[in-house]
Parts: sequence; C-alpha cells; structure tokens
Amino acid sequence: MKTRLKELRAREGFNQTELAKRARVSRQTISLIEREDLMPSLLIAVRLSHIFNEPIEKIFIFDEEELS
Amino acid sequence: MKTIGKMLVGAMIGFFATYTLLASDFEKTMESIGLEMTVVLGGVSFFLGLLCIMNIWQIKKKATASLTGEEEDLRDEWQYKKYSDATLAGNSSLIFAISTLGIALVTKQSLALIIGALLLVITTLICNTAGLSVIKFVYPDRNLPEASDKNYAKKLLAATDEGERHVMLEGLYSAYNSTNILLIGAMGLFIIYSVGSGNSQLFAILVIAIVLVTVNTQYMFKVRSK
Repeated sequence: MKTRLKELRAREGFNQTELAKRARVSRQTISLIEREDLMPSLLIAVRLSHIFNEPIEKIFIFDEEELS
Repeated sequence: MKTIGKMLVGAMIGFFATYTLLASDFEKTMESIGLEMTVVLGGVSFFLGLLCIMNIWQIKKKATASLTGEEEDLRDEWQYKKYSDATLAGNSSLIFAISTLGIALVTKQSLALIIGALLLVITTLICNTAGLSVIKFVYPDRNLPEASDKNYAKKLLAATDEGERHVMLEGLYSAYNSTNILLIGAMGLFIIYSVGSGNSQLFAILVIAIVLVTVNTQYMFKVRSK
C-alpha cells in the first residue's frame, strides 16, 4: 500500500500534530501511516478522507496484487 | 541448520562461562566484594535515577514553549524519545536499587549502608512515579489517567490509539520472547551452578519456573479468550 498522506498534508499546510488533532489520533499514528509502517483502520481512513475531501482510494493506493 | 549452529555456539559459551564461574569459586568471590558491589551498584542506580529526573525536567521545560509547523512535530518526537529514555532510566534505576539492597542484606553490610540502600529504593520508586506523571506534560490535550490511579496501566492502554498500540505490540512481543529465552537460560545456568558448586539454587530455580508458567499462562489465556 502506498499513501499520499504526506503530499496531501503539505497541500493543506498541516503539520503532523495538526493533522493528528483533526483526525483524533496521535502524531505517532500519522507518522507511522506516512512511513507506510501501518495500515490505518477504516475509521481513521474515513476521517482522513473527510479532512482532505478526497476518496479513500485516492489517499491510500493499493497494488492490483493486494486487491485480487 | 543455522539455528542449530547458533544453539551449539550458545551452549558452548554457556558451558565455558559456567565453568569459569565455578572455577573461580563465584560464591566466595561475591561474598568478599559485597561492599564494593553495594557501592558500585548503588552508584549506578543513583546515576540512572538522576538521569531520569534530568529527562523529566527537560520534558517539562520544553513542554511550555509554544511552537508551530515542523518545529512542533520535532518537539513532539523529541519529547516522546525523552519520555522513553526517562522511563528506561527510572526502571533500571529501581532494579539496580533493589539489587543493591539485596546484596547489602545478603553480604551483611553495615546498618548505615543497608538504610542507604533502602532509601535509594524509595527514591527510585518516587522517580518512577514522577516519570509516569510527566506523560501529562507530553500530551496535555489527552485524557490520560493519573499516576496514582489504581487501574493506571489499564486506563493508559485504553487511551492509546491504533498506531501507539502497533508500536507497543511490536516492542512487547519482542520483550516477551526475550524474557522466555533469558529466563530459561537463567534456569539452566542455576541448575549447572547448583550441581557443579554444591550450592543449591533450588529456590531461585523454582521462583523462575513459577514466573515463567504465570507469564505464559497469562498470555495464552488473554489470547485464547479473544
């Protein structure tokens, strides 16, 4: 899984702490997701989708292999 | 094959280490340097306790600064690392303090030294409690339990999110596996020592066995019931 979280965060001008507050998670969780060390739960993915106003699949990009 | 090779090397190192211990009459050596060991271990414990307090003080000092952007993220990362360092220093300090008290009592040191070691245990316990309360400075916006709370560990776990749990799980699983291997190794060492030196370590062997069974049973019951 690839993520565009860092790019979207930069687009909106948020730091990790600010995004973490908005998504109601810790900064560590945001950092882990950005480094692709953690696949977020559906709830956090939906919250991030609302914050950036982007569909989940445009934030988290899966390989065909992972989806089949 | 690699694992068997590693086990054989480990067994050989263990055998030679135990043989050296036995040959040097470990028990008598320990008795004769009881005072030095009490002072050195007490010193290490004191130093680590001091390190814990220094880390706590640095966290509190930096927590009050108002930062934004990248600097805020860097501060958070720094505080998290400092908090981990403070916890490690505090825990190690307490363990060394208890060892110091144990050595002072077993090797029959002077009353002043025993009282000093006891005070060190109490001080390091206070350091550990202070270390727990500093988490409120690191995360002032979060609903975290008080250090004095009876269910502190349970409530703290409940307050963590999935990323933090992911990190904790990785750390705890690795520590759990190491604990099992190291305690079984310690039992083996005690058995060899007891047989070789004639000084029975049966009590320690039984205590380790009980700890191992308790920890593994607790883990399995937790996993099985979910």
